[in-house]
Amino acid sequence: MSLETKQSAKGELVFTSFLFVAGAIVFWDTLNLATTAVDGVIGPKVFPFIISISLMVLSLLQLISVFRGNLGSPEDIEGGTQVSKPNWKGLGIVIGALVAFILLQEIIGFMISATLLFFSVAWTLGERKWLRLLLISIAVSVAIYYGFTAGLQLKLPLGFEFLFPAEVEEW
Amino acid sequence: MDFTHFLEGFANSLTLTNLGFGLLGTLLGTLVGVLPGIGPALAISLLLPITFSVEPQSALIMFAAIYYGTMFGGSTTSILLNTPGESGSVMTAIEGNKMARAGRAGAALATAAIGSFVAGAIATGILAIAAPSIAELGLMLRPADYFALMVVAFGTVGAVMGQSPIRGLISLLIGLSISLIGIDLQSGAQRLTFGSMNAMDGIETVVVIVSLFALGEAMYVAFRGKLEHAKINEFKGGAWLSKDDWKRSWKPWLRGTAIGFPSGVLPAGGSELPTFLSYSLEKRLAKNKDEFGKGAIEGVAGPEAANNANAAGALVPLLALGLPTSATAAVILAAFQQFNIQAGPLLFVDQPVLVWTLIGSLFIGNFLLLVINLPLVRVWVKLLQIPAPYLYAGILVFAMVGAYALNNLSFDLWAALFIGIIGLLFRRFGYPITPLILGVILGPMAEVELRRTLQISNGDPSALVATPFSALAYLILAAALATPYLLPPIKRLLQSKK
Repeated sequence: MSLETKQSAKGELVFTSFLFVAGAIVFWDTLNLATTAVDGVIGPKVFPFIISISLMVLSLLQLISVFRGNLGSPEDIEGGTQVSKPNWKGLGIVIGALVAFILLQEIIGFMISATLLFFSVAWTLGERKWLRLLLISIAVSVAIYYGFTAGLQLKLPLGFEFLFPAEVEEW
Repeated sequence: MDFTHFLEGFANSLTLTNLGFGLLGTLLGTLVGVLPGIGPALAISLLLPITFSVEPQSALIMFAAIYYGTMFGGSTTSILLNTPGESGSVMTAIEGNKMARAGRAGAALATAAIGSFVAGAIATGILAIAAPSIAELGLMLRPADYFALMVVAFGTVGAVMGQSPIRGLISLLIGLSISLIGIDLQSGAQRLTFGSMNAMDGIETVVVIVSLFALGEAMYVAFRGKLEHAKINEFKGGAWLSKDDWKRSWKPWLRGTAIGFPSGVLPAGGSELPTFLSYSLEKRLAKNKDEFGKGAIEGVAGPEAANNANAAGALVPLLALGLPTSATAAVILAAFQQFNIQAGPLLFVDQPVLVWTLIGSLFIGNFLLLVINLPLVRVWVKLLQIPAPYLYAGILVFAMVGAYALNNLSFDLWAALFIGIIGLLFRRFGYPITPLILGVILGPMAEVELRRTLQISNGDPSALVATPFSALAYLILAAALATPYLLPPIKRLLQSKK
């Protein structure tokens, strides 16, 4: 076993254990479910019990299978090639950009935060012409904002509400 | 077939609004099919917010057209770019790209488009005839039978997809677990909410789908992928077939349809399996076997017909029984639910105009697709020049909009991020996504039928297998699960794909 396979085996073991824990959480939650007398013959516990027990059993079997060396192979990449070396930095930036978007969009508005998200993701995935990318990021974000709010009548945050404190509503 | 309703629906599908939404759907579908990284299930779930502002009929026509359209568009990418635009076009890339390199791109594109049209027309015809009869059968089914049908769907989709049956089944169970989150409608019990107010309404289906496909895929590409600037195969002249090409194509089209349609009706989990089967069948039947691997037109014609027929086939159990057999069908079912329309046997009784207009629109959409794909192929080729980083960034922004616009809650976005990470891990460790989605959508329905059955029988579990239909269904499931072990050659064949 090379170092790389050893590490990915470790990763898969951790992931499979996580699946088992997920099953255990569902089981524990079902066990502690408050039920009432009006539930009838079949209450809200039966189905979750079936699911959680099956999940725990199957992930345990899978854990054994991984121990024996049956590792899952990563999926192919659409529109590119797969690299065997994990790019933790790239993944970190994408997740970080998403977290920043979720935290910021209601404060600084959809358009600015979506521009940031678009720019940082495309940059991480290999686009280097930054001026073109910046212009396209802004154009896409503005277009989506007005397309969804004016076109489809959906609400997206405009932001900066802290600058305009809500006036006291008169009753 | 209900002929008066069919004519009424067909006439209704020719109204300006319905034609417009059909055309929009075919264009969007082709676009989505051509672009790598975005498939029909994701595209439709990103568009689910329009269910707030568009009539049910128009929206459903558009969604069905998108489903058909991706199957048309996926071939263009496979042939000109040697990277499948769609999972149903993986097989097309093998021969199609070789043909393009040998200067026969026009013929490959033409046999794909015409084959898709032929398969779509035949399969939609069978759909129109078969669906009402199956719906009538569906009216006679009891809760135990419905539960059995769902268990069969769970079992086969879980076992067929992915690198090992156990991975597929675990994926399904994770989906079922997610479907438990929220207040149980029958008892009012709060399951897996952990005291969160937002979790009481459950996790929106759209959020699950969008995060698994868009967020999971983008994270995975950042983690393990290297996007290259696309090298597009040159192609001169128009997309058309010579006399010899016609002669070599028509049989594979029909055989592809014959494989694709039933595999769509049955819960085989999408278009990967039928296209693979069609490709290997054509390879075996070919007179000149040496040509396979070097650009045999049969290897494009068969799978492309199969994936279209598969899409039409998947609509049969969706409309007639309310039972999705692929991820895309599951998303369309979610759209029905958004409109509070019950897909299933009563659909043909309660909403004859809606369902027959939808079927009529499928015929028209199929024809429109032929028109916009053959002569306009150069326009679509231009789209292939969009750099992939822009695509993934755009998909991600759209996904966040789709997840947020439903309820305007940041909670939905956090849920999307969390489920997106599950999608990333699933891709990394070879777990299939489709069973999870089926679990999320079918889980609540399966639980209702289970509880109904056991309520009637006063808790006696033997009621689950007491009807002839349910017993038969479980027998078929057992046979289907045992087959790979009983027939090792088939299994070896399936593994050689990897």
